[in-house]
Order: sequence, then C-alpha cells, then structure tokens
Amino acid sequence: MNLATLSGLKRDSLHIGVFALVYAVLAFLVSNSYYQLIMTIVPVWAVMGVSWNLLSGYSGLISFGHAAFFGLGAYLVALCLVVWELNPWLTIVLATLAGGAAGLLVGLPTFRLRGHYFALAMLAYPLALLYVFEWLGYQEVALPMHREAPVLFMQFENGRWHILLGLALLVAALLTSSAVAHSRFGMALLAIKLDEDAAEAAGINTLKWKLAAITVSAAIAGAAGGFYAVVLLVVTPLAVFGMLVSAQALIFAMFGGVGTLWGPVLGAFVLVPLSELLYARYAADFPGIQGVVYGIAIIVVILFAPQGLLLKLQAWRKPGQVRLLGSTAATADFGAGDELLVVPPIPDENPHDNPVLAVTALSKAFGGLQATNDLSFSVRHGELLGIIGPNGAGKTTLFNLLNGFIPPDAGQIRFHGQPLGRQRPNRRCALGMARTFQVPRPFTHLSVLDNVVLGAYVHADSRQQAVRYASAAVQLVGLHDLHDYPAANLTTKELRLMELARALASRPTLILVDEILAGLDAVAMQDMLAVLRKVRALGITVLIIEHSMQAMVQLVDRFIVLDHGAMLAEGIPDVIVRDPAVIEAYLGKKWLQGTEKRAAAGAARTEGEPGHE
Amino acid sequence: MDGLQTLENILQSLVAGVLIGAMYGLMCVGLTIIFGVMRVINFAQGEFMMLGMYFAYFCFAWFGSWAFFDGVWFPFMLALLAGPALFVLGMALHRSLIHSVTGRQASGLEAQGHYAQLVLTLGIALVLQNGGLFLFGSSPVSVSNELSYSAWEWGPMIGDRVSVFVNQAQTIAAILAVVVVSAFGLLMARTRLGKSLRAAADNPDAATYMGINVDRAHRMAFGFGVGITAIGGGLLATNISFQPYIGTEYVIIMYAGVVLGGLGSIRGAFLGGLTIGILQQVSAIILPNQLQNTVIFVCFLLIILLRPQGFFGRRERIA
Amino acid sequence: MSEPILLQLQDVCAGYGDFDVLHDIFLRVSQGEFVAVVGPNGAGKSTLFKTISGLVTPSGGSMMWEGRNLFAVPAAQRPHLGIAHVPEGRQVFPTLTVLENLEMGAFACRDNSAFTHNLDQVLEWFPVLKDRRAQAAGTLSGGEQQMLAIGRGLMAAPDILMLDEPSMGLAPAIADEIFERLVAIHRKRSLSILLVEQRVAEALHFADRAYVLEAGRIILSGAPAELQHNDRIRQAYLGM
Repeated sequence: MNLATLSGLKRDSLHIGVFALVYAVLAFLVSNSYYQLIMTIVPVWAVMGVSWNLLSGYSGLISFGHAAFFGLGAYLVALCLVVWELNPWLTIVLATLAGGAAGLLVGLPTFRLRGHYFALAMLAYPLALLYVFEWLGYQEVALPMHREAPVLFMQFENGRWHILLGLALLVAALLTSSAVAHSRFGMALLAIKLDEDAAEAAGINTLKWKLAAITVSAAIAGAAGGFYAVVLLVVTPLAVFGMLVSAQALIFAMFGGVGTLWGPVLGAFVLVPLSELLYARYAADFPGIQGVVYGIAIIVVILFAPQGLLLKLQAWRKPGQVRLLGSTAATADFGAGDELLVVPPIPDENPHDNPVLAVTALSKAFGGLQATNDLSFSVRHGELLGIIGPNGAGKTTLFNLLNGFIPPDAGQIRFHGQPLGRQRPNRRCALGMARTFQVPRPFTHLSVLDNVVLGAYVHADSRQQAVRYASAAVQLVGLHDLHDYPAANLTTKELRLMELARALASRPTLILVDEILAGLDAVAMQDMLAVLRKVRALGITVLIIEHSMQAMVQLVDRFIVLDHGAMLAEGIPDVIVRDPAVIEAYLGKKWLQGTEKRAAAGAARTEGEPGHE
Repeated sequence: MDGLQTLENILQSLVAGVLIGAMYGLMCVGLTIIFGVMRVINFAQGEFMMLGMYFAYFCFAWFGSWAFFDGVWFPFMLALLAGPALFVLGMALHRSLIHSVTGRQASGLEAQGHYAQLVLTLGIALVLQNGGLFLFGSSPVSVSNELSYSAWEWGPMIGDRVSVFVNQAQTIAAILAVVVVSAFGLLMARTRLGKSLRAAADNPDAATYMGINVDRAHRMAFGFGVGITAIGGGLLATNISFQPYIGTEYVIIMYAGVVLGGLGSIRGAFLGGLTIGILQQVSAIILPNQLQNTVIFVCFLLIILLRPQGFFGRRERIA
Repeated sequence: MSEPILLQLQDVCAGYGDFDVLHDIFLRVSQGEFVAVVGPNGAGKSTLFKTISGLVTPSGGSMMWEGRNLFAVPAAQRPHLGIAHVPEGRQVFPTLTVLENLEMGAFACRDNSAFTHNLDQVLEWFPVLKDRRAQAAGTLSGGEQQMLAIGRGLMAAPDILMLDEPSMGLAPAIADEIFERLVAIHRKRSLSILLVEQRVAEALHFADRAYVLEAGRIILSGAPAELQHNDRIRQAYLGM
C-alpha cells in the first residue's frame, strides 16, 4: 500500500490531535462517574462508526452485520480474562486480530454476492453468532474484578483513564481511516463505490480491495468490542451481537456523513449522549426509547439528508457545488509529454506481422437471441478499425465479450497472441486492453484528473508516476484546463474525453471505444475526431464502435459491418459505403431497389431530381 | 432411546413441522410479494408479523369475554382480521415513507441506490420493535384457548406404541393459512388487480405504457405483503408466546424460506416456509433450543451463497 | 386536411438531465393518418416516442392531444386518453401469458363491454397469437412478440397507435409481414398511426406522410413520393 501525498494525512492528523487534546482536557474536568462513563462509551461507538464507514462508507457495500466482529471481540476479551486471566492490553490486540480474521473469512464468500443478497447475508452472521453464544451458555459473562493490579487489568478506580483509553482507540481508528482515505487503497474503494464495473475495466482488482477493506474494518470493530467489554464489565449476547449494535454502527456514520472522516464521530457524539440521557431519564416509563430514537434518526436522515449532516451543512454553505473527494489536483504534473503514454513494444515481438487482436468463431446468445454469431476477424497493430451496424447488431455485446464482462458461449479471443480465457476485465486492462463505455461512467465526486489517475494506477509504480501518466493523458485529450473540476460538472463531450483519457492513462496497446461520437454536434464531433487521430498517431490500436457512418468514414482505416451479430461486410470505407448488402441493412431493401432503378433511369437523363430542403 | 420412540418423535415433529410450516409459508408469501413487485428487501417484515400478533392479542383481550365472541373460532377470526388492518397500515407507510426512497439514492451510497430502502426499513423496524416494547411491555403473552391444548390422537399405529398427537389449534391455523395463500394466489392469477401487479413487477415501463399506475401498484403490493404476513403472525399467535422483539427472530426465518423458494415466487415462498418449518421442528429432536434457529441461519447462508435463485421457484414467478 | 388534428407538437425540446436530445420538434398527426418518423440511430427517435408517452419530460415547446395540453397529463394517464404505445424492443410482460398480456392492453380501454370483440379482432389479425394464447409471452419469438405488442396496443381501442421501431431485431421478411398487417389494420379501422422507424424505405412505402429526424431536429417532412429518393436522407444515414 503506497501512501499518498502525506499532506492529506498530515492535515487530518493535526485535526485529530487538536480534537484529542480538547477531549482529554474535558475528561479531566468531568468528575461525575456517570458522565465519565458516557464520555467513555461515546468514543467506543464512534470507533464502531469509523469501522463501518471504512467498509461501507468508502466502498458502498452496506454491511448490516458489524455486530458480528464487535461481539467476537467483546467475548474474546471477556472469556480470556475469565478463563485464563489474560490482561486486556494483550487481549484487545488479540481481539483486533481476531476481528480482522473474521472479516476476511466473512468477506471471501460473501463478496461474491451483490446488492441485497450481500446485505441479507451480513445481517445473518451476527444473529447466528448470538444464538451460538447463547447455546454455549454465555448468556452473561461477567468480568472478574482484579483490584490487586488495576492498571494491568484496565480496571481503574478513576474513570478518567478509561476515557483516555477510549480516546486513544478513537485516535488510532481515525488515523487508520485517514491513511486509507488518502492512499491508493482509498481511491480504489471510492472507484468501486462510484462504479464497480468501470473500476474493474480500469484495471482495479475490486475483490482484493474489498477484502482488504472488510479486514481492516472488522479489526477495528473487534478492538472496539474488546474495549467495550472491559468498560462495561459484563457481556451478554444481545448487547454485543444484537441488531441494535449493527444499526448503531450504521446510523452514526450515516447521521454524520457517510464516507467522510469525521462523520461517524459527529454522529456518535450527538446521538449517543442523547440516547443515553433519554434512557436514564425515561427508561423506566419508556422502555425501548433508545431503539425508537435511533430508528427515527435513521428514518429522518434517509429521507431528508441522506448524505448526512456534514455534507448537508456543506451544501447549505456552498449550494450547487459538488463535493470533491480525494484530491490530486495539487500535484498535477503537465510537464511530461505524450510519449509517456506509449508502451515500448516487446523486443522480440514483430508488431507488424502479428495481429494485436484475433477473434475466432465468437458466439454468444442471451435466451433465444443470438447476440454474437460465429464472428471472426483480426485487428492489425496500429490500425483504426470501425465496427458499425444498425441498432441491435450486437456491437456492445462484442465489446463486453472482448473486455471480459461476459463469457462467450464459443470461440476464442487472442490478445497479442495469448488466448484470453476467462480473465476478468481488470486483468485484461493490465495486459493492455482499455475501454470506454457507451454511457460515460465518471466517478462524479472526483476531479477530472483524479478520475484519470484511477486508470493510471494499473501500470504505475508509485502515485507520482500515476499522476504523471494521468496528466499526460489529460493533456492529450485537451482537458488540462479543466483538470481540477468535479467530473459532475462536465458536458457530454468533456465526459467522453475524460473517459478516453482514463483509458489512455493505463498505457494500453488497444483501446475499445464505445460510441463516443453519438449525439455530438458537428463542431464537437470534429474535436473528438482530432483527438482520436492523435491517439492513433501514438501507435495505439483503436477499435471503435459507432452506428453513425457519417463521422466514421472520415476516421477509420477499415470497417467491419455487423448485422444480427454476424459479419456482414468488411473493407475500406469507400467500398463499404457502396456495398449493396450494407445499404440494405441500413436503409432497407426497397431503398436499394429504388436506387438501382433510379440509377438505370438516371443514366438516360442528364440530371437527377432537383435537390430538396 | 428405542426405535419406536424415535420413530414417534420423528413423526410428531414432522406433523408439527408441516402445520407450523404452513404458517411460516404464509408469512414468507407476504415477504416475497413485496420483493417480487417492488424489489424491496423489507427488514421490518418481522415487526409487521409482531403487530399482527398483538392485534389478535389485544382484540382477544378486550372483546374475548363478550358473549358473542367467546367461541373457539374467535382467535382465528382475529388473525384473519389482522390482515386488512395491517394492509391499511402498510399502504399508509408506503405512501408516507417508503415511496419517497424508491429510486432515491442515499448519497454517499450512490452506486447502489436501493440501499436507501434497506436502511429505511431498518429504521422502521427499530421504531416498531422498541415502540412495541413500550406499548405492549416485555412480558410474553399469547392468544390461546382450549383448542391450543387439545389434540387429536393419530394412532396407536404399531402395536400400541406409536401415537402422534396433532394439535387442534395448529391444524386449524394451518388450514386457514393454506386457504389464505390459495385465495391470494387466485387473486394474483385471475383478477385484473392481480394481473396489473404482476405486469408492474414484470416490466414497470411497459406497465406505464398500458396505463397502469406503477406507484399505486407498489403501494398495493406493500399493503398485501404486510397484511398477509400479519395474518400469518396472528395464526402463529395461537401457538406460541411472543413479545415485541420476536420479529428479529423470525425475519431470518422468513428470508430463509423466501430465498429457498426463489425471491419473487409465491408458490416457492410457501413451500420454502413449509420446508423451514419442518427443518426447525425436526432438528428439535437432536438439537437444543437455541441451536434450532442457528441451523436455519446456516441453511439461509448456504442457500444464498450456493444457490441464490432458490429451489422451488418456477416460471410462474411474480417477476 | 379537413380531418381533425389528434396530436400536435410544436417547438418541443427534450432530453435527459441537462442534455437536450431533441430540439424544436414540430409534428402533426391527423385522424386516420399514417405518419412515419425516420432517421438514423442516435437521431433521437426513441426520445421522441418517450416524450410523447410521458416517460421523458420536455424542457420546452407544447404538445397537444385533441386540443388538450398533454404536458399536464402524467404518463400512466395518457393511455386512458386513447394513446396506445407499442414500445421499442416489444417490452411484453414475459411471465404473463399471451392472453394476459392482451388483457393488460385493455386496461386503459374506455369501453369495457367491447373487450371480447376487440380480443376476437386482434386474434383474427394475428392468428399465431391465438395458437399461443396460454404460453408465457417471454417464450415467443421476436416476431411473435412484436405482434403481441401491437395486439396489446390495439386492445385499448385507441385513437392513435404509436410504434417505436417495430422492425428492430427482426428478420426483414418478418418485419415486412408486420408492416403489411399494420397497414391493413390502419385501412380497415381508419386508425391513426405514428410510426417511428429506422428502416426508411419500408416506412416511406407505407406511410401517408413522413418526417426525417437527424441529430434531434426535423430536417425534412412531406409525402413519401417527395422524400423517397432524397439524397439528404441518404447523407444522414450513410455519411456520403
């Protein structure tokens, strides 16, 4: 894990330090033991919020089961003390490790699930554990008192030490969270959250990063649980595995601001004292008041401020501005030239003999529809090949097959002579195949440059290098003036250029360009064509899908025309446009017949019909 | 434990499993309707079951002593009445809260917008659960009458050893559950309303092209889903004792039944619930109490990890 | 021209988000007319269809149906006014049977007593649907689904039938067959038709009047005879 520019982390560390100092001072001013307890509990829940945020806030994979890790940590510490008299300093560390291991174990099978299945599975884990621990007889595990060595067993007379320990835990969690956020790890998670498929196609190994996220997140939750056991001195299954625990982890982060560093802290610091005080006051008359408060908080937040308080406040102060996450703008490096983007050819490969891409007998059917039908073609090195055909001809399916998003039913794809098998899109990107999407998939809350940097990581050894590649790409497509704008503010043409830049930053040998010209007006189209020519001039092979012939004829070296998933015609533009089969496919048989008739009639006259407007 | 005793135990649990399973099946059907039509995972479904139980309980407590209502049929009728009552509540909840997050994206969670629904229903679950704790108290209650304590004896079968006792209340409840599911199945298959719900589930855009108000269809589906699960809860209330937190326990049971049957399939959900019921009762022979539910959770996890599309669902799914 | 105007669009602009796809669209369909809108891919034909259907909200201009402002009518209400939609890609209800699909088509029918009569008619025009009436619509072939989608639209006894690229994804022979049935229905019932199509020649062959859409604007309009071999159309489609 490469650490990013330290400035982001340093800035956060400063804030964290100030916060810790203030809180520590407060701790010494408070002498009422009940308030001291609250001041200890609040950081614990803040840590839970930070832990949840690290997985779900940063990556978008909503976990309803963090109680599993929390509870495991709590029981580990409690039972180690009861059975083996191990002190909490040691066992909280163990709880952290155990939590991490549990996270990894949970993540491995569960990340194969998407969407609601993932959420349901995560819900089940803590509830299952709850029943197991009840069965094991651990309905109530009380931590024995060890007055003879209060420091060793974290059983201080003076509650203030607990507050400081809790604070220390929170500081550690926040530093971890900040380090992740400012690193390549954090960027990858953000990309996964904003658009997992686009991240995959840009070369990001989504599974690896998701597993890393859940491991770190669960480790923090385990630590929180372990410390919680020490503070409360009693552990019951419902208190540590119950749904309320998972809900609290979620609500604090959501209330304060999902995906932000301080959001969970804000949420915990507002909601925990509120509910504790309500509980103390009204619990006798109003059992369950805590749950009601949290439930209402969740409902209100989701309906009125789904981004959380922090972001809502920011939106009020600066309306209309899209919040930028992450930041590389400060370090953009536009000095380098376009050559950075060119991958030097492997010495013994003769680029002009072997095709870059060779497709053989490729077929794919969806239900009854044959989307790709026994397709074979090859693409020469440095060529600009256009794939066209009427709507429904199977062009995007072809790209999805080439790119690895869907497996073919039959046939083979060879890239630089190597068969591609079942390799995932991020792997193909690493091999040199980049892609843009028909509907641009920007990472909306990132700047233009950051969007492109994400694509550069796949071949960059360090962040600086990634930024250099990205800067070169941004410059090539002409977006350098906009490099620090949020992607959400771009026009369609600019978005498409950015997509292209992101693909270029991965230093591909082949780019799959999917309908980049659609809907552009004449001027924009010419700009885009100029950029594509520049790309080709670098020696990169380009495969471009379009349905509009108009622009393509000016651009491509060669056409492949698809119809109903099969190859209809192949050749240079001049020939293709006059090919009867092609005309028939686009305009219809009757048009063709009419044209032929008119040609025959027109031969007998000096001029055709007067032009119409 | 000699062989015949074991056989008797197994038969007994099978019978109990089928009867209780029918009630679980009904509750699962309610859950699957909501998912099938709206594509919403409703975390609060267990709480609606709980509300159905308490509806039956309170009506029984208030009116059960009146002369007209003191027949053995009264609790069962109350269970059925819980349906329309909760149907109205479900529609109101949808109109006020739920429909505003269908399609909305909880920002910060933009990539998967449907999480807003998950989180919202979680919030509703918390409020209902804990509000219930406040309103109803934490001591377990139940809705029982003589039928809950009487059983028909089936047997003795082998020699004079093996007898199976079939609880009367359970039997009536199970029969009613089957009746309700069948009636609802007919509604979905034969009536204009049912077909329009299925159309809205199949293809919301095309349904709009036909003039069907998809938002209204969702509201009805939510109401039906909540109401049907409430009836299941009311029927179950004649068999077990319950308290406001019972929903959490049953939500995973319901989801296990639903994914077993394939999300969105009415028949599948009923069979799934039935299977879960049988599994639970049969496992009681060998496993202690707390582990029964763990077995179900484990099954649930295995199903979604290994075969998320379920076993029983077929072409006739809602969606 | 003495026939009353059913549908009229004036200066309509529409698109997705901030990005307008259609600019200054003008369009008119009178009672009993068969009007075609043709254009290459990406011209905005589907967006036009969705704007009239109500799934896309226009940003400017006016849209009138039988003299009444259509903008104010929500999408699910428009079929109840007599506008039937046959969407792009058929969009049948795959798990419902053929018969149930047709029943759904009648959902917006203003005269419920005519249901059986309408059903008989539709099955007569498309006999293959009669054979398959108990089959799940998702199992039908592309051509059969297209016929089902059209039949579904007709079940509402509409004043206008709007079709979005009915030939897409179908073999030319089947597409031709479908066009011919459409024309027969049009003639027999004097049903107004608005056809949005990619296949120019077929559309021009069958229509009374046509509009040509390119890059979101109407560039040509008139009778097929005038448009039939217009080079401008060829340019729009083929680039040279």
